[in-house]
Amino acid sequence: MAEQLPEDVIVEILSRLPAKTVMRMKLVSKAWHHLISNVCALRLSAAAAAHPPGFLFLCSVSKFLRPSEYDIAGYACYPDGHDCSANSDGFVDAYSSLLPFKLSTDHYFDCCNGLLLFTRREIQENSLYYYVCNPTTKQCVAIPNPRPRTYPFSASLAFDPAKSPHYKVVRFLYPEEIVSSPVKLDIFSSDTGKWVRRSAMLSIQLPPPPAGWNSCIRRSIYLDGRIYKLSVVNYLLRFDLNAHSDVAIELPHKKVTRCYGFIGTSRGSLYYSNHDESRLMISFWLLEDRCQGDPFWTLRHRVSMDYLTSKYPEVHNSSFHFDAYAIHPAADIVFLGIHNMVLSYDLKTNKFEEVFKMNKQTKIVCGQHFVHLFSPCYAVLSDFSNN
Amino acid sequence: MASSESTTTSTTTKVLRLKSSDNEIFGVEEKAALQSETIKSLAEDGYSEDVIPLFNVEKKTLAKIVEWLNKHASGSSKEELKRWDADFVDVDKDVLYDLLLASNYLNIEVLLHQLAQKVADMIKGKKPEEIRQLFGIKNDFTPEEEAEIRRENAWAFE
Repeated sequence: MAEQLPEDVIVEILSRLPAKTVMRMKLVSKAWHHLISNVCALRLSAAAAAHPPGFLFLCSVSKFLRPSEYDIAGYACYPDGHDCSANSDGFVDAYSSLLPFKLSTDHYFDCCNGLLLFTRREIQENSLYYYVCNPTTKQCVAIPNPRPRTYPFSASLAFDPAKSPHYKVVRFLYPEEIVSSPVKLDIFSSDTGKWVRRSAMLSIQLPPPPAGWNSCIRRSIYLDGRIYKLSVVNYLLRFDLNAHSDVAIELPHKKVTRCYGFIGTSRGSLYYSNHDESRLMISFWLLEDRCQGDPFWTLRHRVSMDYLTSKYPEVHNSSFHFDAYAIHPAADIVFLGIHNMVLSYDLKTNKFEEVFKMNKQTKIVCGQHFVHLFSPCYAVLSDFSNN
Repeated sequence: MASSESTTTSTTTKVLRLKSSDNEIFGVEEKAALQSETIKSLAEDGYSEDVIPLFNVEKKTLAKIVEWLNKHASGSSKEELKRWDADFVDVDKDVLYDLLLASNYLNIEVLLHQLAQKVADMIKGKKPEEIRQLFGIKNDFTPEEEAEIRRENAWAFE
C-alpha cells in the first residue's frame, strides 16, 4: 500500500481534473472532503474567474402588439457571444428555477464572483427576504432573520472564493431624507449565520445630492474585504467589512451631468471609468489604495470615441454613446457597450470586436451598472434553515 | 540507469554527491542536480563539498530521479523529452507514488507536475470506491454522511 500522499500533492493532482469530477471525489474520505471543500473548490473557482464564460445583465423587451416594455435578466456567452435573445444557454431559466419565488426585475440585486443575491419583498410583513444562489452548484439558500425594512436600502454581496469559502450580504441603510451616502450597514456573514449592524463612518461630510436624485449607484464592487459604491456627488465610497473604517474618495474627473461613471475590478485593483466632458474619450483610472496614506487615482487608459464610432456610423449619428460596461478580471480588456451591443476592447493593441448584439426587440438596461461578468464558483452554500 | 551512477569527478563540471536514505551515493552534475530546489538550498547551506544526505528518498527511487535530472539537463529536443517523459512516468502505481513523494520532497516542480498529471489521468472517470483502492484510503463515512454529501453536491452527481 502506498504511503499517504501529502495534502499539497493531492491538491496538485486534483487541480488537473474537471471541477465536477473533483467535487464527486468528496466521497472518497473525510480528509479528501475537507481538502476539496476548503482548498480545491476555492482554487478551481479562482482559476475559473480568470476566464469568465458569460455576461449577466438586465434588458428590456418590447413585443409586437405589446407596447409596454418589461425588464428581464439576460445572459450572453463570452468570448463566443452571438446574437442575443436575452437568455442564451437557458442560463437565466436555470437559476430562476432554483428560487422559491417567481423572478421579476426588482428581485435581481447583485452578482459577485459566481454567486447571485436576490431579494423578495413581503409587503404585509414590511420585510425583505434575501436569497443567495449559486447557479453552478444549483443551490439557493434563504438568508435567515431578515431585518424589518425601516429605511430605504440597497444590498450587495461580498464574496471572494480565492480568499474564503464564506460570503457576506451587506445591506446599506439610508435615512428618510435623501443624503449622499448610507448611514448604516447591516452585515450578514455566512460563517456565523448572523447579522451585525454598524454605523457608516465616513471620513468626511458629503454634500447633499441634487434635488430628485438618489444617493448612490446600486452597483457595488467587492474587493479585499471592502465594498465600493459610487455616490452621485462624485465620490467613491469605501466600506471596510472587517473594521469600522469607511472612506469617501473624490472622483478623478470633472463632473459630467447625470453621468455617474462605472466601477469594476481587474487583477485585484479597482477601476473607475467615465467620459470626459466632450464625450470624445472614455478614460479609465486605477485606484491606488494599497499603501498607507490617502488613496489616489492614476489615469491608465483613454479610448477614443471617434475611433469606435467610425466603425458604427449608426451610433455616430445618434445620441447614443459607448460606456464602460465591464472590465476583464485577468486581461487588458475592457467591455464597452451601448443599448444593443457589447464590444471588447484590447487596451494593448487598441483592437475591438463585437462580443454580442441584442436582437431588435431587446435592449440592455443601465449597462454601466448592471452588466456583470459571470464565472462559475464551486463553493457549497450552507443551509441556514435549522438556525 | 547505469549512466547515473557516475563517481568520477570531472575537472570542468562540478559533481554533487547525493546520498539516499539507505546510504547509496549518486554523483550528479551540479547543473542537473540544481533542478531540485531542495538540493539547491542544501548545496547553498554548505553541503556541496560534502555528501548531500536525502533522508526521505530510497536508493531505487533516487536512481530514477537522478535519471530524470540528467535527461532534463542533457539538452535534448522538446519532442524527444516529451516522448522520454511519457515513458518515464509509465510505471506501476507504487513506483509512481514513491516518485511523487520524492519529487515533492526534492521540490522538482516540472517532474511533480508531470507525475500529478499522470495520476490525474489515472483517476479520471473512476468511482470514489476505485479511487480509495488506488490510494489505499479507508472509507470513513457513515452511509448517512455519504447521502448528505451526495445531496449537498447533487449537481456534480447528475
